[in-house]
Amino acid sequence: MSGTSVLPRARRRPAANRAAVHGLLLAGPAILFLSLLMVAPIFVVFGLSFTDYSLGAIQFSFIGLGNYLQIASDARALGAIGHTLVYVAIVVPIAVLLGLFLALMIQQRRRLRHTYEVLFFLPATSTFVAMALVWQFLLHGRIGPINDWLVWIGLGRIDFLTNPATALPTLAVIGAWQLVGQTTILFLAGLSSVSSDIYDAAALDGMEAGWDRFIRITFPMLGPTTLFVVVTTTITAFQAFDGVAALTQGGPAGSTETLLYKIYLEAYQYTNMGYASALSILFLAFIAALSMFQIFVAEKKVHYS
Amino acid sequence: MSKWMQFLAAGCLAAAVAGPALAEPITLNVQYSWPSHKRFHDPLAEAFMKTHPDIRINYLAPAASYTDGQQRMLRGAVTGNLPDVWYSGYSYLNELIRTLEPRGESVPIGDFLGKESTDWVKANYSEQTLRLGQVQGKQWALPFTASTPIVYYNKDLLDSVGASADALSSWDGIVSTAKKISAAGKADGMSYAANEWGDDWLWQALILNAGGHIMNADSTKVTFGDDSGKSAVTLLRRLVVETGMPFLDEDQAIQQFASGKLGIFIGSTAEVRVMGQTIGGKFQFGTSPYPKAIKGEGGLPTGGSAAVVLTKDAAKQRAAWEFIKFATGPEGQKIVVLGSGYMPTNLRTTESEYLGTFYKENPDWTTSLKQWPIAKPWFGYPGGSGPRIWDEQKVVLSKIMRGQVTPDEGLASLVELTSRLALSKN
Repeated sequence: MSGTSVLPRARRRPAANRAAVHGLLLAGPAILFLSLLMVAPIFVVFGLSFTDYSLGAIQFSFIGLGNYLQIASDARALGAIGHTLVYVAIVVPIAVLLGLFLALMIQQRRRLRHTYEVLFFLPATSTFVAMALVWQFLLHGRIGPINDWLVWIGLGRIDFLTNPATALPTLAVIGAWQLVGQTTILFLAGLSSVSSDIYDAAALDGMEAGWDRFIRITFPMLGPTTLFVVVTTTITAFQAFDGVAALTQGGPAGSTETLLYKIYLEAYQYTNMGYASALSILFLAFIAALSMFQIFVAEKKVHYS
Repeated sequence: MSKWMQFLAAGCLAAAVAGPALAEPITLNVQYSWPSHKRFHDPLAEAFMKTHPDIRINYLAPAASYTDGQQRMLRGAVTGNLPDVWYSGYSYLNELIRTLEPRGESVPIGDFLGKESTDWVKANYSEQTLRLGQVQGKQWALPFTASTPIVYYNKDLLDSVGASADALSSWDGIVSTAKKISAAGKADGMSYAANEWGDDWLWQALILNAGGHIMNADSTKVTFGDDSGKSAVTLLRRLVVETGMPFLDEDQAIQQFASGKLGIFIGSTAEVRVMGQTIGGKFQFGTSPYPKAIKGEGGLPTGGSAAVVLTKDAAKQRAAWEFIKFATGPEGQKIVVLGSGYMPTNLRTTESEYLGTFYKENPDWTTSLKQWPIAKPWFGYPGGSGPRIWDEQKVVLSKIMRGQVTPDEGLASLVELTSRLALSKN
């Protein structure tokens, strides 16, 4: 890099300036709308998080860090953070490992490959709220087919969505089901970019197939893909909301209140905008930390090229 | 009255009558809750527009629930984007008016009622009905739909264990019948999903039915920690222990009842129409009144909604009043009742010209009608704390029902949290 920049600077400047102006003009509309629609609201929320603004109120006052201090002593907010972490801890391993497994299986197929791809991707394309109704029926504690089957094989009923102990794991499994199609497709894309030269070379050395080949070649070569999948899945899982809203509304007994659902409750059910804004900033910090981790730490350690 | 005044009054009257007919049709934006209620809102608007060609009813996309609708109104008040007419859920009326009144966004219905003749008002609306639309003694809204909880039972299941529907008139009878049905093993006995309901309606029903009150008259003290609360929490735990009651939310309970796997379901009278349709003759079902309270004083919280006028335009306000008069009138109420099972809010609806004959032929639909005398306002907490209070209360109710705390401990913590949340904002 440093070697090329010793060219006389004066000669390059007008052209570079023109290019910069053109670039700015082209990017201008996007920058404008992004700042109006994405960046500005974040600043508004940040500002509101220091107030006691309540939706519909005519006036509000600044209360400094009051909202943030309240989070620390609000058992339900802390509970919501805990539920979100548990949810992420269940969704991410299932979605990533199952996605990887399915991708490896599908990749070996020739004729049915596309059929499988479509089949496993279907959940990602369906409208979740409609699917939620199907899940609600399937998992019904008394008349659901899954419970009929459990009773038939002698395990007894499970009140999947109405028992505080099982509701959150059940939602997490449904959440993973929603994401598996996407992770499978991403892993398939990653697999197709692994050069066949490496496999050929390994075959010459006697590593033809199986576990060895996966551990020594496929998985390391999938490093960047795996990192990307883990980070995006984690971010998506952090945003757990639609399953909660459609299936349990945070219940039973508050056991499925996730951070995003708690924010929704505070903002729109309790009209407590200031406090909800503080929670949103906390949420944003989580997501930002994950993204930073991907960009600055992990990206550097997973590339072999 | 002087000649001039008479002349002027006649002129105004003529203008009022002829004015709208000459002018462009007025369009009213009307907002209601519950998308499934389209089945009676649409025919209602059609019938109204047929007789009032000068007014066009434009329904906005329905709100998912009273809570969702309430949020829309609060947002609408901030963004200046309110409908002309809104059907507010009773328990949210108090908060709605307290938010909108300082902004001058709502017109009291009393202003319109006052212009009608006293005889007409008396012939159409009972004192009790009107009270449901009052906030701090002022008539802000006109009741449009009304419901009380009733008991639905699966007659086939009751017959199969040799139980009679007469037993369902008391909680003891309900518990023993449900016990028999669960013991027979083919279905669950009953569902009284007080803790999983979307709002505190069924919970308030237990308190009110036992003669209690949620708070005192000026909302400065929580008062359900007395015997009424004690009998309510004890009963809830008893339902689980003695009948093996499953934990279901409202939708799940209705699904299970409609599929014939639940003996007794206690819920809103507004489901009668839907129940009939979903069951579709698979089994025989019947309805009976909410079990009688231990004390004679008991009441039931009235669910449903009341019409509120939110437009500032004088011509639209007149049109809105015409529409509300129709919707809460006997023709309008006939359409509403037949599409749902709600109790009519208009006194004349039971005349034989409207629903008199229908009620005689369909006794299952009259159960809630008989409960009008004990229909009381659905208590709304002060300062918009209602949704949060319910979210906290239902957690405690779940613990009581699951036996994680004793009913007495549970009641104490219910009273404590309700006092803390309801009184903190005042």
